[in-house]
Amino acid sequence: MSVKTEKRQSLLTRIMNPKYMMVYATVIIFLIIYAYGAIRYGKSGFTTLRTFVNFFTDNAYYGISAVGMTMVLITGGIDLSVASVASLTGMIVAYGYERMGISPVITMLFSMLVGIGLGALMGAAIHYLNVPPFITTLTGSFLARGICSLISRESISMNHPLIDQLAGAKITLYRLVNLQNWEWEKIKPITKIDMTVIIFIVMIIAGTILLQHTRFGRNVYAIGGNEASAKLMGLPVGRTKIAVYAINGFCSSLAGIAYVLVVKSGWNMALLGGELEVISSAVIGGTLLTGGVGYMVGTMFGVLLKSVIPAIINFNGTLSSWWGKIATGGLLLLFIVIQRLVVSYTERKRK
Amino acid sequence: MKKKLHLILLIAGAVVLAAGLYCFASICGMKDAVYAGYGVSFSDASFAKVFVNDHDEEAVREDFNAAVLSGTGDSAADGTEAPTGTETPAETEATGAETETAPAAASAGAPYDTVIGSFSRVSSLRTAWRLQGIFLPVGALLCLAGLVLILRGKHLDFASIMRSKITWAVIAEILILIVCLIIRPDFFSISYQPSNHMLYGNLIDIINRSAEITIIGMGMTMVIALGGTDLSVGALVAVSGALALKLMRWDPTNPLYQTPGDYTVYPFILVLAVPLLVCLLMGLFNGMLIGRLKLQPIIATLILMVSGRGIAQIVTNGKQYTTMYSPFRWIGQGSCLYLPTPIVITAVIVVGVMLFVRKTAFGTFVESVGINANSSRLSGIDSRAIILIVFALTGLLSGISGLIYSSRIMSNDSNNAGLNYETDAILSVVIGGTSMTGGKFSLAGTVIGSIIIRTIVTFVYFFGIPADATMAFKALIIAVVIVLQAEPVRVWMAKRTERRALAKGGAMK
Repeated sequence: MSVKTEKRQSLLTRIMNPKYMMVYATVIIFLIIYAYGAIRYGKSGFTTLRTFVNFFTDNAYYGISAVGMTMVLITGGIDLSVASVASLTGMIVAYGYERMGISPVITMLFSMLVGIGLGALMGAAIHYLNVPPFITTLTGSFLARGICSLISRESISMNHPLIDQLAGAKITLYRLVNLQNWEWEKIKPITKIDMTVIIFIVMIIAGTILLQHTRFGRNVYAIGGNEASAKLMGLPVGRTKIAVYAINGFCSSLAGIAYVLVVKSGWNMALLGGELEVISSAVIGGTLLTGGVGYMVGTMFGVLLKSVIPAIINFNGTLSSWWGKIATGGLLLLFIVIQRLVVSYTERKRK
Repeated sequence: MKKKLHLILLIAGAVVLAAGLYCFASICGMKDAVYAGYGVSFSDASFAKVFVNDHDEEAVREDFNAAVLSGTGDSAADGTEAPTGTETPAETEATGAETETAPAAASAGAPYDTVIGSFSRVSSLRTAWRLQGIFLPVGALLCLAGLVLILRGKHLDFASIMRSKITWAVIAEILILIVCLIIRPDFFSISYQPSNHMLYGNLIDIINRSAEITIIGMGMTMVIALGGTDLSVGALVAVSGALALKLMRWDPTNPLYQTPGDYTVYPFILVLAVPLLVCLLMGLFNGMLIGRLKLQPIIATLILMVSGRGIAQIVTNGKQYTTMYSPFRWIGQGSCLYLPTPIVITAVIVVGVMLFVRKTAFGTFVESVGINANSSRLSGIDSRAIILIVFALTGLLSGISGLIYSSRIMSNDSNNAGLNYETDAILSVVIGGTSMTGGKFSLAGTVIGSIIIRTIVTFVYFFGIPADATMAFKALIIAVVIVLQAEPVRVWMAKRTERRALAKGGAMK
């Protein structure tokens, strides 16, 4: 029944639904910044496809983690342990192969189990012990990084054919030159899509499907909207919350694996402060920290925005990289104010 | 009957405290005697630590070296490090390891005729040294308990004490300290260093090192009581340090910003005032975003957290200035009232904030806004002003904390100054029993929480565990504290004690 009424709405009203406003704002600001870069540094190669793909490559591991984080934020929680868990994953994989001779496949699976287990444990503590998510996951973060330091205090570089193969697995993009003969030619400058980017995009798609088209996803939104009423409606609040944190743990260890593919080493202080990068990407992408609102596509653009600014600073060449931090802060401010305006607008409309 | 018990507690505490003080005094009195045979004073490494600094350090060190090398000494090099009061993990480990090897070295006895002569005196001194360490804190604790009970005049209600969150924090702290005492019997010992006019000891060091977090914690407690968090404090610490060092080394008459030297060209008060003012303004900015624009505190303060370190880097052009200016050194490393200055500053701030919050209606306003902002607005409280004041205060306090930090290292470090201070401050508030959901808060609890965190760090160093791995132990201990404090667990405990009391009462009937 509800499906039918939805179909009756015109496409325009469906697209212009205020709940998508935040995502649109992100996309528009991304386009504006991209256009600025294109006009300013178009000649030095800002507009090439390779630069665009690099936006994905730069922060792919943050992006993978942001998929899980978006879900956690939608339930109204927060997870500060993602960077530590990712770092722990890298350490397990590197230490496992270099010092103990275990195949990376096994250690990768094991570290995923560790991520899922730790996530589920934190979710259980949050739900059953009523400990605020902030504190629980902060403790989890300390634990993961501490264990990481106990395993090894120095960076372990690893050299395994499988890792090299995975890191080297790339899709080279071609373009059609001649329609009649179906001649293909490599796009110049030669553009390749890394394994990490593929994982990132697959995760974004999987996350979108999970959130928008399954019962689980609707439960997640319901809990974020109002946990008490979700419970009264008979939704499995505890199970869903624990599952969300477990999924986030999985995403963080996957991000750790992606990070290993990039740096090919494990380090106990890797990705220090990365959790806030992840959270701010999700927030820039339109996810509300109070829960109930958020979309994977927005998160993806949030991650892209975080790569565009350093790219512009790089292309400029004279700005110090510290401006990147300040620009990110300014951007955050902009987004939050936009979010605020949108929220107050919709509230006023409802009244 | 109850009143008498309190009085007995107080008197017992006073007696124990007096005994501790007597030990302390006797150590100070006999010090010169020990110097006559200083060879022996090294048979206990902690003695070396106490007595090396204010005498001819070089000669003492050489003698010690010679003794240990001629004896068993593998770890001679460790012991030669002259302790300077600013305790590093390496030194702590060294003092622990030295205790066993040194007596053997003394008994090998190459040039030590004096050793045998003064040995009995020294061993009695050592006993005094260790007893002092037990007497002083226990006496102080008993006195404090007696005083509090007498002043409050409350009856001891076991169930309500078990329900209080601070109780668990105090118990956790005492447990950690007891383990420390078992590992090192002289853990609590305190000694006086005439050259610095300062008292030294592990306890003082713990309080001294927790100063930054305690100061920030005062603001953070109220921020959390309002139902928010302030993530920007660590970045503000960096900004404050960067500005202070910039002003100290920056000559405005020279357009190239060349550094004039080791002293400040400004009136010194400016070096302190400008960073504090900037931090206050940044706090106001946070408050504006949260109070006026009604943003979520976590995300509003994330802005300054992300960009604050960038600002600090730009202020100093990415450089790391150092200074030797002694009034600035006094803030972090000097002594005041025979204590390290940060302790005194912290005490003044804690007392000041407590008076401001509890002797005016401000604290009640904060709790009211934290519990329900709307209804407190309806009852006439300007919640926006409250939020603004609280966040501005937190900014100012992080600025003070930043000055202390940069004075400790006599330099600015935009990347590492105040790193993870926000998490430490939030943890200390939560351990202290203030709920993250807002409402009631406890400043005293925050002080205890911040001391617990520092104690954990010291405790971990004692096992010789690398500093990086501290986090795992921090996490374990915090997890225990949090689980004990969790609502369901506390309710269960309280019910259990009530049930027991009921059962007892029933049996008596």
